[in-house]
Amino acid sequence: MKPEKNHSQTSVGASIYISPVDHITGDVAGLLANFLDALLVRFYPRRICQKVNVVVTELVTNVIQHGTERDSEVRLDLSIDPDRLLIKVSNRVTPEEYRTVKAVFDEIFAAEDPRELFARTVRERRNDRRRGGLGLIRLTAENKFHLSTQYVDGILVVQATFP
Amino acid sequence: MKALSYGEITDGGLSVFQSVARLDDDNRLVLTFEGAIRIDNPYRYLSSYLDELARVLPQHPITSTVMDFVKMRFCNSNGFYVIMDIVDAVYNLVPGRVTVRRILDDDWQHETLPILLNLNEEHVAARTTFEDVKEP
Repeated sequence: MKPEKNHSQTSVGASIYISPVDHITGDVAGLLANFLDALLVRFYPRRICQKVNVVVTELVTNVIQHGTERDSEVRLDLSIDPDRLLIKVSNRVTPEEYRTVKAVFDEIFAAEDPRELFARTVRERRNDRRRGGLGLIRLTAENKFHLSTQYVDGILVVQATFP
Repeated sequence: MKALSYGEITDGGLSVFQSVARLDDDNRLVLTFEGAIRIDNPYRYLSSYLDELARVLPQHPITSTVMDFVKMRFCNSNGFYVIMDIVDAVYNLVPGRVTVRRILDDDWQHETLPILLNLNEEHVAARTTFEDVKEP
């Protein structure tokens, strides 16, 4: 009798880029997220794949909606193995855009309780009727990702790892 | 079961999210959420549903409410406020206990949904009970 395959021991990697960002129309973030969710659910528990869906949706949406360097590319790199899920989304940003993103990261890193920060931010932004601005905080408070960021030669890389 | 109101988001002609408010024979409000909210501005599709809920809910002798999120697979952060507006309509316009049905091991339904329900408000928390179910 053959030993049963343990699909959660499978390693999967994917790299996708789209250039230029300005050519993106429709819900490309959702397409990428649903595709990777559907692929990974063949190997990993639904709960992990749902995390992939959320992080890809939020990070790629941030680039598509807020990135001003529209002639550059958005790049998505994913790798998953039994020990770790790693997702990186990178795009070209101006120094000013980087400072805005970094300020959000600084707020997240300074928070003793990311969930309380998330709840407070949701309430404040709702009261002000402001859209957006929740994605990065959500990834830490809701999905328990560890986030980090790099800015090298004009390229912003946002990295999310779990656990 | 009598349908009171219905809201829907479509994408390319296909329905991707539906919320239906129904009244059952015991005057219980059953509010279901199904599908996924992924679009940038869900109010574009659901503002008339919110207006209709505000109009019809006070007209019925509702005694309790079930809000069922079990078939709601995804909500992007732009969808949070419209969910908050829908549940606010229930808590503000309908008396009685509220049972929230949610998926047992779903991150957003366990971590974020309580925030959207505003459970930090005592009067909301006191009326609310969760029923955790396995994903269908």
